[in-house]
Amino acid sequence: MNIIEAKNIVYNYPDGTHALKETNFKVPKGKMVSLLGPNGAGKSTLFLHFNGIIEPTSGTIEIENKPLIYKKKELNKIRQTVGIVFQNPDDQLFAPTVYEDIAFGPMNMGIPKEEIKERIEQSIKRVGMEGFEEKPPHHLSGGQKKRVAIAGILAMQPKVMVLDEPTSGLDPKGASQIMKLLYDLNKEGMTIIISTHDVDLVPIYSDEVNVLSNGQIIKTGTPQEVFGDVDLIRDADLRLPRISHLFEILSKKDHKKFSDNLPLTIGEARKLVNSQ
Amino acid sequence: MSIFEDTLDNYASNNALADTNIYAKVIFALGTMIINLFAQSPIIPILIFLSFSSITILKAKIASRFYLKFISVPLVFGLITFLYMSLFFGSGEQILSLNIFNWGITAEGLNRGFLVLTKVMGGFSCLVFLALTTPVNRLFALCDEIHIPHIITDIALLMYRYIFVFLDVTLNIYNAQKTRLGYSGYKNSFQCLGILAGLVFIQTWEKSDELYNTLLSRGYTGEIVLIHDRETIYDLRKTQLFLIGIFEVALVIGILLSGTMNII
Repeated sequence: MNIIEAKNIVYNYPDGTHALKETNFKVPKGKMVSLLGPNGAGKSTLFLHFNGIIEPTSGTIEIENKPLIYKKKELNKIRQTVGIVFQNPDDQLFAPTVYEDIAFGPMNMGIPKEEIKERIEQSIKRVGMEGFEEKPPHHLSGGQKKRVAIAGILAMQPKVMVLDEPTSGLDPKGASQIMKLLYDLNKEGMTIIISTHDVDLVPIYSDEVNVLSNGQIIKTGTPQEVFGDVDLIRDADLRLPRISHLFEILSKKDHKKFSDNLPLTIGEARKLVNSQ
Repeated sequence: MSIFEDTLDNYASNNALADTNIYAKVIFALGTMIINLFAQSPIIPILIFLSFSSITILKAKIASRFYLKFISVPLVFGLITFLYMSLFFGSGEQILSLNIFNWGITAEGLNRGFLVLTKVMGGFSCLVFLALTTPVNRLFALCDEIHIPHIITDIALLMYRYIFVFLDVTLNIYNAQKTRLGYSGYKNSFQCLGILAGLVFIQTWEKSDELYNTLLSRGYTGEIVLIHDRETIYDLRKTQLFLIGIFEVALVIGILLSGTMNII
């Protein structure tokens, strides 16, 4: 079952620019899906369609196989199903303290206070921010802000979590912590969609990769399938993961023979080398 | 982070009285401030100033250097007022004449000026006590509980948070300008400042759009409902209320006793 499906989405900016041109995008339930694309490809715009923040000029969005209805009540329900973590946490954290910020979503859902408290505690623990409850957001580092932003969405217990560039601006450790967290959440059954251009991280964590270029999905498939099409990746202003690039050079320039496809991760590369 | 370390905001959430019942603090500070207004003699305002300053420094453990710096601003204004009033207010015989334009200090003016100065400092010490010991989120919760309209608290809340965001934005643009030799001359400085102000305005505009989207994504329906799981007015202990009551009554008696006792 597809938990989110975008069918022929067209979206034009008020100035007439075509941000999305007949975009089709499917997210199977329980998967971790990456949306890969260069700057300005339309990733953020596409994401804002998933919980009805923007309405497409034409085309439909289906959440759990039901077309999205752009009415206040319906939208509020959808926003509990699809949680979006925005790219810049400063745009998302508005409350005077971490605790109050995480409480905001559940408070709007009108669930009992005791449950809200429980959810907040769980989410804070989940993202590893215990002890920061009373801190104001401006006393946190970039990575910490990001984690609080994620906790704020987690507390709403959505079925799908959509993250716009979750690792941008983070140091390597912070980035891998976030990715590990998302991986674990996915293993517990949450569907995860991330947009990124960090091609090294994509094959490690994703079940499925979509390449968005110039407002259109130009390729969909497993990481192997997508990165196997080297020309397409480069035409879309992206690149291969470093490790694949190394193996590409080794086979093309140094004429080393490798039996398989290009390895995408260090693990795959290790296996390949050891098997030779 | 470090540039925020020595700020009011930081002290407000990290002081020894941060967890004291907010209603106790508000009643204590505002009650004293109102009584302070009725003083006709400088004695009680001076006492208020001394007691609130010592509570702020000794009990709440606010660094005294920071406190003095903070309090020096109203002090300067107060002194200017004092000087002005003692020169130009009041009639009667001059006790000190400046021999210019018939200017001089009268006893009435001196008394009145000094009273105003002490009242300013007394009232301000109450306000500073509240500002330095109360985390701002508690104040918002209090506003909510006494039914101040949401539109006001919501805007105040967002303004408070975005002060720090835009401080960052401003600093970044300012540094970028200086890196490329901005602010190097008189005319150039004005130009740069104008650009800075314009850019920050545009950024606020854009941020507000983004913020609206993020709020909507979390189910915003036009009202920011914050969770309050802290103390309520009913948690105010009787002993606290009793002690505050005694203090305020003592001040009122003090005001009645000191009457219009003046320095001259």
